[in-house]
Amino acid sequence: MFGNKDKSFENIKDAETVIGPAIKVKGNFHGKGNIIIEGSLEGSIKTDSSLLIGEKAKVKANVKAKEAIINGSVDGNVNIDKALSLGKTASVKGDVVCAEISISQGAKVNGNFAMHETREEESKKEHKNTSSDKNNSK
Amino acid sequence: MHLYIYDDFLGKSKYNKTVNKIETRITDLGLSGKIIRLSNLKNIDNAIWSEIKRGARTLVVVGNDGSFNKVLKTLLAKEVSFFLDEIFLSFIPVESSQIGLSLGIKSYTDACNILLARRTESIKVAKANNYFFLSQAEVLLKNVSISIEDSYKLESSDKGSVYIINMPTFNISKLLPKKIDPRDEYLHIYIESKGHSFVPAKKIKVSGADKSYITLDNSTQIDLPCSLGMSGKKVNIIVGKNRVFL
Repeated sequence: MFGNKDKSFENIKDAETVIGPAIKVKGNFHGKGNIIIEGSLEGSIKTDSSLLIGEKAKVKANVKAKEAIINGSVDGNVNIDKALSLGKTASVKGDVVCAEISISQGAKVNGNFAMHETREEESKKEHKNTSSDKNNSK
Repeated sequence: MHLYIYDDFLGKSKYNKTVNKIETRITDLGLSGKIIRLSNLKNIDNAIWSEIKRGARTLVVVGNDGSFNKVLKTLLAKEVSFFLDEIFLSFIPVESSQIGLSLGIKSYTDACNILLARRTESIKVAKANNYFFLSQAEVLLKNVSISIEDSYKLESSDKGSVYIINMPTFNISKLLPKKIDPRDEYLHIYIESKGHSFVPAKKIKVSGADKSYITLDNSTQIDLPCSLGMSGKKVNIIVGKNRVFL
């Protein structure tokens, strides 16, 4: 449906929540599981799983998700724990924070980018630091 | 002991042949029991309650989706619900029935065999205002507002239908992106319009213009606004192996 071949997003097809093109969502939309937005949304959106914003979707909201594909327009800050994919029709007006990013030619972003480490990387680092501290104390 | 509850419309002559066939099949299968007819009863609740007190534990509704909904309401009434864990509800639909198809019952002949096989599932019952429903509530999409968990609203100016589903009907189950489990704590909102929408929710409020209504289990209409959620009650139901839910 969305033509994204990135394997990390394969599970998005099993979306728990789908907002179709005829629907407007207003408020704090804290969904359960993977979410697909093809309609419009005003407020905020949050999920611990994957988020897919379709080509014709219009989102005026701060976005928080584990991973996301954006193909539509987002007016708000985007905060993604792991991978973010901006498709060629994506338009983001806001700051973007994520751990990994893929940007297709044609995607528009008006805002600042910041990259952070994934939780796995952070915990690996913490683990390394703890082990080296232990070795030093010996 | 089996208690057969016949709805009043079965008294019409056009159903005589069907009722005779059902009774013959039930006798052949050795499943005979007492029959009560809703047409003779002023108070359905009292009649069913007194049969349960006498030992009836398998209640077989013979009728349509409306008949099933009437008996479900009685079963969840205060007095009867004390016995709810021991009671098994079965359904013999005499005409096209969405609830029957949800339960994996294609016809009245099929229903008799399913009653004999006695495959059971404990299914949670949903509530809309003060009305119980087992399957789904349906409302027209245009100009309704659907508030979810008191935190966000779904709206649309397009035409379409909204289904608030506990146990999907056969027709709707074919359209859903995933199977619904009526044993969980969630209702699922399915909107059929330009594209499809699918949202799980625990607490739903549907508001609309004056004289708008929502239809429960293909039989009962109640006025909007309407609050929907799980009732906290469950019933044991005898189901077919081709039921549409998990």
